[in-house]
Amino acid sequence: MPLELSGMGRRQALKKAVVQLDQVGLAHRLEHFPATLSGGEQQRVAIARALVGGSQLVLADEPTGALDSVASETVMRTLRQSCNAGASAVVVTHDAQIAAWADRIVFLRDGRLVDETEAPADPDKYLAGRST
Amino acid sequence: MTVANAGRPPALEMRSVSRVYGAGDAAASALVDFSLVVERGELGTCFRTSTC
Repeated sequence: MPLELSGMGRRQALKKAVVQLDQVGLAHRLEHFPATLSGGEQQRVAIARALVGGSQLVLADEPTGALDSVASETVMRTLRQSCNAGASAVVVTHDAQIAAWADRIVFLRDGRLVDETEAPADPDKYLAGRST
Repeated sequence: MTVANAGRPPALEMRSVSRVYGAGDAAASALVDFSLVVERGELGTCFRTSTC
Protein backbone atom coordinates (compact mmCIF):
# COMPACT_ATOMS: atom_id res chain seq x y z
CA MET A 1 0.00 0.00 0.00
CA PRO A 2 2.72 2.62 0.76
CA LEU A 3 4.13 2.12 -2.72
CA GLU A 4 0.76 2.61 -4.39
CA LEU A 5 0.13 5.69 -2.26
CA SER A 6 3.44 7.07 -3.51
CA GLY A 7 2.25 6.65 -7.10
CA MET A 8 3.83 3.36 -8.08
CA GLY A 9 1.85 1.10 -10.40
CA ARG A 10 0.10 -1.86 -8.84
CA ARG A 11 2.13 -4.50 -10.66
CA GLN A 12 5.49 -2.98 -9.79
CA ALA A 13 4.37 -2.38 -6.20
CA LEU A 14 3.40 -6.03 -5.91
CA LYS A 15 6.80 -7.14 -7.20
CA LYS A 16 8.62 -4.99 -4.67
CA ALA A 17 6.32 -6.15 -1.89
CA VAL A 18 7.05 -9.79 -2.71
CA VAL A 19 10.80 -9.17 -2.57
CA GLN A 20 10.52 -7.30 0.75
CA LEU A 21 8.27 -9.92 2.33
CA ASP A 22 10.73 -12.60 1.25
CA GLN A 23 13.49 -10.71 3.07
CA VAL A 24 11.56 -10.94 6.34
CA GLY A 25 10.81 -14.63 5.77
CA LEU A 26 7.17 -14.33 4.78
CA ALA A 27 7.23 -15.32 1.12
CA HIS A 28 5.12 -18.36 1.94
CA ARG A 29 2.37 -16.19 3.47
CA LEU A 30 1.75 -13.89 0.51
CA GLU A 31 -1.82 -15.02 -0.07
CA HIS A 32 -2.89 -14.90 3.57
CA PHE A 33 -5.13 -12.28 5.13
CA PRO A 34 -3.78 -10.31 8.11
CA ALA A 35 -6.12 -11.99 10.59
CA THR A 36 -4.66 -15.39 9.72
CA LEU A 37 -1.10 -14.29 10.52
CA SER A 38 0.43 -14.72 13.94
CA GLY A 39 1.41 -11.67 15.97
CA GLY A 40 5.02 -12.18 15.03
CA GLU A 41 4.18 -12.47 11.36
CA GLN A 42 2.11 -9.30 11.52
CA GLN A 43 5.07 -7.58 13.14
CA ARG A 44 7.32 -8.68 10.31
CA VAL A 45 4.80 -7.41 7.77
CA ALA A 46 4.95 -4.04 9.53
CA ILE A 47 8.74 -4.06 9.23
CA ALA A 48 8.51 -4.95 5.54
CA ARG A 49 5.98 -2.16 4.99
CA ALA A 50 8.31 0.33 6.67
CA LEU A 51 11.23 -0.69 4.48
CA VAL A 52 9.63 -1.38 1.12
CA GLY A 53 9.58 2.21 -0.06
CA GLY A 54 13.30 2.62 0.42
CA SER A 55 12.88 4.76 3.52
CA GLN A 56 15.99 6.72 4.46
CA LEU A 57 15.11 6.71 8.14
CA VAL A 58 13.34 4.00 10.10
CA LEU A 59 12.25 4.58 13.70
CA ALA A 60 11.27 1.32 15.36
CA ASP A 61 9.91 1.09 18.90
CA GLU A 62 10.39 -2.47 20.18
CA PRO A 63 10.15 -3.97 16.66
CA THR A 64 10.92 -7.46 17.95
CA GLY A 65 8.86 -7.35 21.11
CA ALA A 66 6.40 -10.00 19.94
CA LEU A 67 8.89 -12.15 18.08
CA ASP A 68 10.85 -15.25 18.94
CA SER A 69 14.63 -15.19 18.63
CA VAL A 70 14.70 -16.50 15.06
CA ALA A 71 12.15 -13.99 13.78
CA SER A 72 13.89 -11.23 15.76
CA GLU A 73 17.15 -12.03 14.05
CA THR A 74 15.42 -11.92 10.67
CA VAL A 75 14.02 -8.46 11.42
CA MET A 76 17.32 -7.10 12.68
CA ARG A 77 19.23 -8.56 9.76
CA THR A 78 16.79 -6.84 7.41
CA LEU A 79 17.29 -3.51 9.19
CA ARG A 80 21.04 -4.08 9.14
CA GLN A 81 20.96 -4.66 5.38
CA SER A 82 18.92 -1.49 4.87
CA CYS A 83 21.45 0.51 6.85
CA ASN A 84 24.32 -1.04 4.93
CA ALA A 85 22.53 0.19 1.80
CA GLY A 86 22.47 3.75 3.13
CA ALA A 87 19.33 4.01 5.23
CA SER A 88 19.44 4.89 8.92
CA ALA A 89 17.51 3.29 11.73
CA VAL A 90 16.90 3.85 15.41
CA VAL A 91 15.56 0.89 17.35
CA VAL A 92 14.24 1.16 20.88
CA THR A 93 14.54 -2.08 22.80
CA HIS A 94 14.81 -3.73 26.21
CA ASP A 95 16.64 -6.68 24.65
CA ALA A 96 20.43 -6.72 24.86
CA GLN A 97 20.68 -9.22 22.03
CA ILE A 98 18.76 -6.85 19.77
CA ALA A 99 20.86 -3.90 20.86
CA ALA A 100 23.95 -5.82 19.88
CA TRP A 101 22.98 -5.53 16.21
CA ALA A 102 23.54 -1.79 16.31
CA ASP A 103 26.56 0.28 15.44
CA ARG A 104 25.92 2.27 18.56
CA ILE A 105 23.85 1.86 21.70
CA VAL A 106 22.56 4.73 23.79
CA PHE A 107 21.14 4.00 27.21
CA LEU A 108 17.93 5.61 28.40
CA ARG A 109 16.84 5.76 32.00
CA ASP A 110 13.67 7.56 33.00
CA GLY A 111 13.70 9.48 29.75
CA ARG A 112 17.29 10.60 30.10
CA LEU A 113 20.18 9.58 27.92
CA VAL A 114 22.68 8.31 30.47
CA ASP A 115 25.38 6.59 28.45
CA GLU A 116 26.42 5.36 25.04
CA THR A 117 28.68 2.71 23.64
CA GLU A 118 29.47 0.88 20.48
CA ALA A 119 27.73 -2.46 20.31
CA PRO A 120 29.72 -4.98 22.38
CA ALA A 121 30.67 -8.35 21.04
CA ASP A 122 28.92 -9.99 23.97
CA PRO A 123 26.10 -7.73 25.18
CA ASP A 124 24.98 -10.02 28.00
CA LYS A 125 28.45 -10.03 29.53
CA TYR A 126 28.68 -6.26 29.11
CA LEU A 127 25.30 -5.56 30.65
CA ALA A 128 25.91 -7.90 33.56
CA GLY A 129 28.50 -5.46 34.85
CA ARG A 130 26.30 -2.37 34.63
CA SER A 131 24.37 -0.82 37.48
CA THR A 132 21.55 0.47 35.24
CA MET B 1 24.01 14.90 27.14
CA THR B 2 24.69 15.15 23.45
CA VAL B 3 25.69 12.09 21.52
CA ALA B 4 27.08 12.41 18.05
CA ASN B 5 29.43 10.64 15.73
CA ALA B 6 31.71 12.67 13.55
CA GLY B 7 31.76 10.63 10.37
CA ARG B 8 28.94 10.54 7.87
CA PRO B 9 26.33 13.29 7.46
CA PRO B 10 23.41 13.20 9.88
CA ALA B 11 20.12 11.55 9.04
CA LEU B 12 18.45 12.58 12.28
CA GLU B 13 19.27 15.34 14.72
CA MET B 14 17.49 15.85 18.01
CA ARG B 15 18.60 18.71 20.24
CA SER B 16 17.48 19.04 23.84
CA VAL B 17 14.11 17.42 23.22
CA SER B 18 11.81 16.99 26.21
CA ARG B 19 8.41 15.32 26.05
CA VAL B 20 5.82 14.83 28.76
CA TYR B 21 2.87 12.52 28.33
CA GLY B 22 -0.29 12.65 30.38
CA ALA B 23 -1.38 15.48 32.63
CA GLY B 24 -1.62 16.31 36.30
CA ASP B 25 -0.73 13.43 38.58
CA ALA B 26 -0.49 11.11 35.57
CA ALA B 27 2.11 13.22 33.79
CA ALA B 28 5.32 11.37 32.99
CA SER B 29 8.49 12.48 31.30
CA ALA B 30 9.16 10.40 28.22
CA LEU B 31 12.23 12.34 27.19
CA VAL B 32 14.28 14.78 29.24
CA ASP B 33 16.73 17.09 27.49
CA PHE B 34 17.39 14.38 24.93
CA SER B 35 19.94 15.03 22.19
CA LEU B 36 20.94 12.53 19.57
CA VAL B 37 22.49 12.59 16.12
CA VAL B 38 22.13 9.54 13.90
CA GLU B 39 24.33 9.32 10.83
CA ARG B 40 23.28 8.10 7.44
CA GLY B 41 23.76 4.38 7.23
CA GLU B 42 23.86 4.00 10.98
CA LEU B 43 21.84 1.47 12.93
CA GLY B 44 21.43 2.78 16.44
CA THR B 45 19.58 1.38 19.38
CA CYS B 46 18.12 3.08 22.42
CA PHE B 47 18.40 0.54 25.20
CA ARG B 48 15.71 1.29 27.72
CA THR B 49 16.35 0.37 31.29
CA SER B 50 12.97 1.82 32.25
CA THR B 51 9.76 2.97 30.59
CA CYS B 52 10.13 6.20 28.68
